[in-house]
Amino acid sequence: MRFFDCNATLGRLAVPLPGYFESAEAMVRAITRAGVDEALVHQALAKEYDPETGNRKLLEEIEGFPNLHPSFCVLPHHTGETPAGPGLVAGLQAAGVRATRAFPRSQNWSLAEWSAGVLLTALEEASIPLFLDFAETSCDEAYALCERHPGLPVVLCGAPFRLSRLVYALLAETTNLRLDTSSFQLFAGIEDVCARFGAERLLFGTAAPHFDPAPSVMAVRYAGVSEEEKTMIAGENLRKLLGLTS
Amino acid sequence: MDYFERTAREGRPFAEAFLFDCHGHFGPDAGFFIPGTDLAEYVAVLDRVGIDRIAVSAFANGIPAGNDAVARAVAARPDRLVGYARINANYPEIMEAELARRFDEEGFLGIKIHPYCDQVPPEDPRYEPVFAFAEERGVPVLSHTWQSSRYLDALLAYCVPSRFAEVARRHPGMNLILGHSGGEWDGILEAVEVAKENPNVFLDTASSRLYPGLVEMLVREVGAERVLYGSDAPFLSPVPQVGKVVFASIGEEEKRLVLGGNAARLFGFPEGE
Repeated sequence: MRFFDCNATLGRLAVPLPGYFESAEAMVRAITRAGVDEALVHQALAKEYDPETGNRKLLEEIEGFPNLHPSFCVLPHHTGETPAGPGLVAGLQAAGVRATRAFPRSQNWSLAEWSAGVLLTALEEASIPLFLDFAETSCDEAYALCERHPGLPVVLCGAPFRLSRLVYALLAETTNLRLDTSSFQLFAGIEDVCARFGAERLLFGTAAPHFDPAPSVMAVRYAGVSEEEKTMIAGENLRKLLGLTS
Repeated sequence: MDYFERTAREGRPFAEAFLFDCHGHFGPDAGFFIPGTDLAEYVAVLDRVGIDRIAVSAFANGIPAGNDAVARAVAARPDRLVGYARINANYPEIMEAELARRFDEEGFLGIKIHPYCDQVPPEDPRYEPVFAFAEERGVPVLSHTWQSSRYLDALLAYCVPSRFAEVARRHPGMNLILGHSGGEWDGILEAVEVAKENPNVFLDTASSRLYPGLVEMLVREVGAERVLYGSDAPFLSPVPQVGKVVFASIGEEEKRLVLGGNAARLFGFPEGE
């Protein structure tokens, strides 16, 4: 079973917590110790300083670390900070970037069509997944986004276990929404989500370095589901989303 | 690599260690949906990890219905579940009878208070009979504690760790477990200070925050003998909670204490039973 973390951050945070680590080297050390083989990473600077600077720095940092895969922070095009849809996608593809991450709340834009429609349509047409922190959106917004763009793979990261009623409704009423496991630590939650919605709706995530990756590995390894389902959650689902061959 | 890390990497239950979860619950919670809370399913989750015992209390408004449910579960699986009597200081008139019934008739072994949910701070005099009872009987008291500067929540004022210092001083014979060790990092540092000043204060590790280095810091600051593994199950899955300790950079013997030895001692179980 190969573990592929869908939710990890590189770089310096404005407010680091004790135990925080920021370099690609430290990330590889931490995930290796935890038994994680690969990670999809985004850059903290892209969220907190400047998307373009952060994205560029991310590519520089992961060079020489083949088990770290880049995820770019994206914005709508209206201000000219980023190319409009097709141009944005061409840029991602040219840089070998297979995933995107959005911070609409922190970066003051909306996932609604009038703000992000061009961006989301372009990602949908290119089947490039969008990773969205739970703290950056709402369940209503995530639902509307998935309904409007059913071909866009959306991964909701950091969904708290306490919101099980809302999260179950999202999973039931959409087909393209997945959850990362980093904060969805609900008792027997992996088992129940697999039984009701299928293992393809869960992606292994750690929220490293905010969280220690090792306990999240255990959550999947010890889940009361089949080995096939564990393998899907651990990494296969993400590899498929990113278009990487096994 | 020690026994715990080896076993975790193989995904096997920790059969060669005694795991005692000091912070569990049993029964429903109106606030959210929790799967797998039927007793058999609950125990099956414990079995997958090899958690030998778990001390459980009712959720927020648990008197007396929640305590009744805990009593039934403990009676059904006395080999696995240990009961905490959930006490709400807003109802002092039933406190004495509740304690007598739960401890003398139903074999509960600990007391759980929740100053946040009940909105009664720990130094409130209405808790005094509870703390006196705990001190006299030698039973541990587990309290919810939490502190966070990341978000605004006025009710946190009821349960910040620093408020427990006075209680611990007033009742030096009472073993007081600060649940969640104060919650987020600022609360954790506060809880550590309370524990350092009061040898009868213990810290439990239950929290959805899987902070890197947390267990190491707690063990370094207050000693492995006063750090207890807790999960908050079935709010949370106990698996990553065990993982916090298993993968901590501490000695194997320290892991044995944190994962079960300390709780066994506090609840009066001979080691390994």
